[in-house]
Amino acid sequence: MENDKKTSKKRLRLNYEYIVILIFAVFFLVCVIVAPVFRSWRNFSNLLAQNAMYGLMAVGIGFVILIGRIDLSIASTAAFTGIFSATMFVREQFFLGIIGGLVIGCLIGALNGLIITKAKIIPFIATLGTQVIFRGLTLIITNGYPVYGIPKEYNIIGLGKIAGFFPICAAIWIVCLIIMQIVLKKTKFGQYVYAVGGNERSAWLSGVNTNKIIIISYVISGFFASLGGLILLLRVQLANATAAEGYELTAIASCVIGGIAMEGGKGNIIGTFFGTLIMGMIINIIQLTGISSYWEKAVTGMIILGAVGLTTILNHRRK
Amino acid sequence: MVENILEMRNITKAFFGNKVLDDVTLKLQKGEVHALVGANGAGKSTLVKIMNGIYGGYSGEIIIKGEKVQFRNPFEANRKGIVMVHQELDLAENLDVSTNIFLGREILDKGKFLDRKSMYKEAQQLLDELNFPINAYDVIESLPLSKRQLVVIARCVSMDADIIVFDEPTSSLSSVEVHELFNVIRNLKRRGVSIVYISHFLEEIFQIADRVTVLRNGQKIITELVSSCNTEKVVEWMIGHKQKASQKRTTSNAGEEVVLSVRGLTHATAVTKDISFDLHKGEILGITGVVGSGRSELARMIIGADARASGEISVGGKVVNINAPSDAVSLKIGYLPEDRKKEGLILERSIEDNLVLAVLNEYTKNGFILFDKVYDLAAKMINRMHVKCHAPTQRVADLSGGNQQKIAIGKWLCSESRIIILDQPTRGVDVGAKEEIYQIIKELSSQNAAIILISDEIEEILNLSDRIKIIVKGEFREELDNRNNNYVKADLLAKMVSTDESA
Repeated sequence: MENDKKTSKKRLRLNYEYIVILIFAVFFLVCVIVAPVFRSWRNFSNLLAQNAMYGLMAVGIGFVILIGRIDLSIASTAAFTGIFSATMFVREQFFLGIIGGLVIGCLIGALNGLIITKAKIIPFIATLGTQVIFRGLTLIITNGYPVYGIPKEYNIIGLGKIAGFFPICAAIWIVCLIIMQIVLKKTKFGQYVYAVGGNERSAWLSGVNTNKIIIISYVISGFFASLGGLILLLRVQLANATAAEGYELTAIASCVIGGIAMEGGKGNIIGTFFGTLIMGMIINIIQLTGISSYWEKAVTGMIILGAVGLTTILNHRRK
Repeated sequence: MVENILEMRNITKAFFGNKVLDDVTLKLQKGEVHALVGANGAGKSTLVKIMNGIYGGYSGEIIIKGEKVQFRNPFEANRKGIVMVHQELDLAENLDVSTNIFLGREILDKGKFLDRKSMYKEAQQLLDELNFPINAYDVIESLPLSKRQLVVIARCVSMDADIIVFDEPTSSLSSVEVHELFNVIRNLKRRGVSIVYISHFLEEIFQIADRVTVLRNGQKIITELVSSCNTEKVVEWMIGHKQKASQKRTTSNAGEEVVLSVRGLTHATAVTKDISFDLHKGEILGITGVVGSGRSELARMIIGADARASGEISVGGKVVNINAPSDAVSLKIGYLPEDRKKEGLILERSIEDNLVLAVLNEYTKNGFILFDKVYDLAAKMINRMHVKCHAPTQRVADLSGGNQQKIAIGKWLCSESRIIILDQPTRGVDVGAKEEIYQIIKELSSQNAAIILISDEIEEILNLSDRIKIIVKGEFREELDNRNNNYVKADLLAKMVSTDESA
């Protein structure tokens, strides 16, 4: 009896949190119907590979949004660490390039977290500041010239496929997604993320070190920003000071479509996978059907409003 | 026959089926100061909020100068000449005095632009006329609280108000400022303005009011000329004669061992001054005082949520350094905040998530949560506290107020706190849940936890406490030994509402 009730309650929560999967399924079905090419694995695997970098950024910024904050600096972080990694790659320092890039990403995240918790600058302004600073530093360092000459064999991460059919970058994305979903749902840190996002004051009064949780969340965001930047770098095979511009908005939109509430405390990381794919599918289907690519942004905007509106309506009806 | 400027006839109002006003009639005469008194929760605020159009959905009628009215919002009440000076002075702090006085009623020039010159001139004229030592150009932020209040009063007068409602105007004023405020009120009275004056401090009422209306449990008890009654009589009306002794705790469990010792604690904003006390093992220490007396700030200071200017805290005989709530939690001090929704709970999360939040460390292994252990703990706690719910995984937002409160208290039972500070543990919960919460408090004490019980409800303070501390304007006034049952509600109330040091 008790157990019955437990599972039925769980199912109710599942329905709500994972509504994005339903939206994704409907969207996918529509695409399959209007564009026959969509039915091929090749197209789908391309979709996964093309969106891996956005998806990874969304995984990271998802934590920041879950604690009720924002990170506008992720695209700049990706470009900045991309320059470092590319320079190392050109010198055939593969591991230094990878590890160094990720460490710098974490440091930028920690800097954001410290500015927000210690200097008490609101997250929007703090990360807008670091966004512009790191974009500027990237331009200064490169003098505006792209870094190229990365050894061909490194590109396997960006363009290679496992057993000839599954994109490696998509595999990295999915593995990270699963790990971070487990971190969110099964660990003490994840529980604190929900607590800080749900009611920071209450969490603090309950003895949670809220500043620590905030800083770690920004470190995660910085880490995945640089990882996304690495994937981008190893797909296009060069690093550019203007790389990834505007990607933070794509990542934020993916989180929001994926069911993470901007006020924090609600949503999950798996949702960002479907959010990212929905965004990617819009571009994909517009290309496939030969509709003018000028439509891309307008349609994307409408999908964001539609998906969030639907979630909001369903959420309110529940109350 | 004196003219009644306002009549509220047979007003009845319920919140969620809970009657807070029952057939209350209030008649306000032109140019009188009419005091409205009653214990916390008697319905004073609700009555004046109906008068001001903040609350609708009542039965009964309101008649102003012979005309029947029904306000849909405070603006309509303003237009009929009723304004309210709220406890939280609602001023735009970043703007200057004249802008605030004319907010929403700006003077415009021919080109429909703001005519600042005229506004400053008129504002200054008004301030001078009222004898307020304020410059119309001053920015609100730069003014002390007492002057801000004068700005609000000036705004009321500039709106040609016939009726001004003061809600606890003196709770944060010094005695000199209170004296000045009374001069202002007498001045307003001479101008023919009627005043509704709400205060916890009865002495003030005898100084300033002409008539007094007493409310108790949502009912009007009496309206009487102040000159023909005294403090004892008013207190008696406020609490009634009935004294329920049924729930009274019969055995004390207070030990000798001092578990918490506080010396000279002063709040960073000086709302509490030089507080010292000892708390013993198994003891229930009741702290009571009127709204704004500093009781909640005291609690927050002890657990490190509010900054303190000076003072020392010892736990178990050792001086400790509590700078944040996490320090208090690790010293096994639990704190139930006054506002469970804003501070006590994470509403969107489940019962088990909330219960285990303060002790998650003990329910994790290598960073991973031991969900089975958490579930068992939550189930045990739900059982022990009689929480009505489907399962430990249910969202807290979906529970009733009483059950939510049990979860907020349960958090500190889960953490096995040895010192528990409860701020208004039964606020906004139904009678059944109230009894159950009392039971939990008694149980905790019998298990040797030391409890600080902060409450508005004098009855629960009397029924549960071993000792009672009365806090008035941020200072401990008096300590009562409650173990011999020799105090009644009237004693406590009289001490709380007195501003006289020797009372």
